[in-house]
Amino acid sequence: MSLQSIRLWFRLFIVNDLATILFLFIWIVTNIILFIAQFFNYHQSRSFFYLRALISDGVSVARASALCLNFNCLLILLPVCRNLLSLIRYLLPHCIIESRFRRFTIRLFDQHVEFHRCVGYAICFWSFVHVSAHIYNYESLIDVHNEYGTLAAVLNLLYLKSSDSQINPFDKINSNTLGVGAMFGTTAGITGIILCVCLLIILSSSTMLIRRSFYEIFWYTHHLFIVFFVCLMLHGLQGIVKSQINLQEHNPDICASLYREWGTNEQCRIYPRFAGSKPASWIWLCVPLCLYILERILRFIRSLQQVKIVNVIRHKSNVIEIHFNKKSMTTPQPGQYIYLKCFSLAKFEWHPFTVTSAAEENYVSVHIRTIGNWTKELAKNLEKYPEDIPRISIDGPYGSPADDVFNYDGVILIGAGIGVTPYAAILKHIRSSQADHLRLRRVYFYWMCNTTACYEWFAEMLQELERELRDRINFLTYKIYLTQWSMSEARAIIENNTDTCDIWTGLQAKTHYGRPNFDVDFQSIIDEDWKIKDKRDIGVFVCGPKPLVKQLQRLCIKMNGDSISKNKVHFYLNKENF
Amino acid sequence: MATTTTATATATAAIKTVFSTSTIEWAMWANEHVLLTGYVLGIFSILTIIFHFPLWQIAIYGLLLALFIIIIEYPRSGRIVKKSKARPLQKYPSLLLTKLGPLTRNYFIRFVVYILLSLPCLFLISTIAPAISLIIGAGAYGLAALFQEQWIPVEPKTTDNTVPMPTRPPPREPLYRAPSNA
Repeated sequence: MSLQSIRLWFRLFIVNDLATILFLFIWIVTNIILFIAQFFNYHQSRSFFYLRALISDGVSVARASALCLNFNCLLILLPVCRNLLSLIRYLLPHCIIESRFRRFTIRLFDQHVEFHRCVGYAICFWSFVHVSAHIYNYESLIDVHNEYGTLAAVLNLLYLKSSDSQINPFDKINSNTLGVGAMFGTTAGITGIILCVCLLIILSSSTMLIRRSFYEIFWYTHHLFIVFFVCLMLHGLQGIVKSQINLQEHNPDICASLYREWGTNEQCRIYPRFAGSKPASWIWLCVPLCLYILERILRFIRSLQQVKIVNVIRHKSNVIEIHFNKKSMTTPQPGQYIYLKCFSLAKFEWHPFTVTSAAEENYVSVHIRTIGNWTKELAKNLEKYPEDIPRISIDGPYGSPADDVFNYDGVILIGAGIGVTPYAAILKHIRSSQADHLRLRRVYFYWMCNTTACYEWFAEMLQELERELRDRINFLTYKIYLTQWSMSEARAIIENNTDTCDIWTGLQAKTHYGRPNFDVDFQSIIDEDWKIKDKRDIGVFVCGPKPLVKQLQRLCIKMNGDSISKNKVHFYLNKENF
Repeated sequence: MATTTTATATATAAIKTVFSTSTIEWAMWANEHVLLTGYVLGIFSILTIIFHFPLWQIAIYGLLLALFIIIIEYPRSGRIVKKSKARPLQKYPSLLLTKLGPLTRNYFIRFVVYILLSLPCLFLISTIAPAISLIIGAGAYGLAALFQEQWIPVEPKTTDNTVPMPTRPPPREPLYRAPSNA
């Protein structure tokens, strides 16, 4: 790899992923610091001296990983509270004025599901450490009964001398006791096994195969987290791990080696007294659980509201468009998405769809492509509109509004296939609010599609836009690309070559065939004279497959590096995954 | 025989009312779950053997059981609706499984065998949790057997040699003409 490409890769990395990497780094460092701090706390603590004499550092490892587990269980519920995140997104522009920082932090919020998954993996890892350490502890506590004449043997039998001097929770052990039987006598053991099994089931049903193809299994088994959290709060109830409370009267540093003379030697006349530590998990878990319960209640209340369907339009290529009356929710901004639930199909499933109507219209519209089971059934149920409409609920709107478009001098919108749906709302929004935002001068719109049928539903809107913006020259430039065609279509294209309007879309601008050449297009945008003197900021918005996004990333950075001194044009890439 | 068929019919109907909108193949989830259990059982058995806890001999059995589970469960079954993605290096255990024929194709056998084999692991603290989750995975295979699913080997992808390579490049605009505006 040449030096140039390494530098390019590095700058790509910094520009697009720095916020995520920094956040993950801070989280990992917090985990490690918590583990090390708690480990040394227990490793050097005098009140746990006698417990360490029985089971050595197993208690330190187990307690340290338990602290990390508490921390991660606190964090895991927060990224899935959709309404909380929407609230923060709404309040964020008021707190952070500088738009570049705002862009970084907003992108963090868009990746909340990935963070949830990372915290899940961390819980699995720390659980493994915690369970291994506690298995070692349990077996040692049982095994230690075989010793005779050592400090550990004296500690085992201390409960016979004074009643609150019991340190080993297993006192009625003989050589025939099965380890598992002793474990079932403790709350921590039973809840621990339930926790392990729940975690294994949740982990096995969260793999990508199950999420993509059998979403219901994932959704319903993931709700085992309720059992997980309840058992987690009950896990430390018995207070098995004991620490010494009378350190002034009985000093372990002096008396540990004098274990044969406890009660007779005047330094160690008083026996050590032990008390169990109180359970602490519920303190960590209170706040996120309350927030999550509020979130679910809010979703449920929203789902009870009546939603009126105003119109249903069936397009070709398996796309249906539904118009809703929007009196029961906040106006969705362009780029946001809503969740739909249909009671007659599935009582508990919410499916997300991007909103395609602009904020000024008096209805909310979604375009639904019918490829899966649920969407096909929904299309079948809506065939008999206006009679016999199934009952539908809406939850939303969620997501980041794409109002970032007005912070740039020029905007390049690139959409592939059905990924063009958010741009429908954005273009309508631009059309209706162009008078307020004078900074935006140019809009370049690229739409790539591999069949001709999907042009139909979007083409009408583009025709309207073409008509309305005819007097603003050079404001909107759109290019439509068809990337696959059959022989009959190719013949029709050749015959139609000299017509004024395009045969597929009916627009003035003819459809291009093949893939766009972004290098040439970007260069011509740089060379175009916009009649302004300052540095031009151009936002590039991409919604499409990963290779396309990578290609555009490289191009943006290359163009930024080349033209930094010439025309002072700066390209900012925004990866949207709607 | 009539009572068992009505029992299976009511169980099938009950499950279909909850999961009504899609074709669920329980065997796919059972496969993922039992494979994960195999890994966990293997790791905890190794830990038990290293530390020589009491009754660690059961852990040797646990390790062998874990290896057996991993070999049987590693090949992913083919699916009815879509083509399933094979795990890396799947074809070697897959050969073994196709040779064994009906023993591995039928999921009811897996249901019974896994429940019986997991019972000794219930007696050790380090392997009791994987043993319980293996029983749950075996239950999922029982559900799969209820729906008469089968294990189908995944064919490796064959490159299609029938369509000839195109001789002319696809039509594109010439590179040096600036694109026109709308």
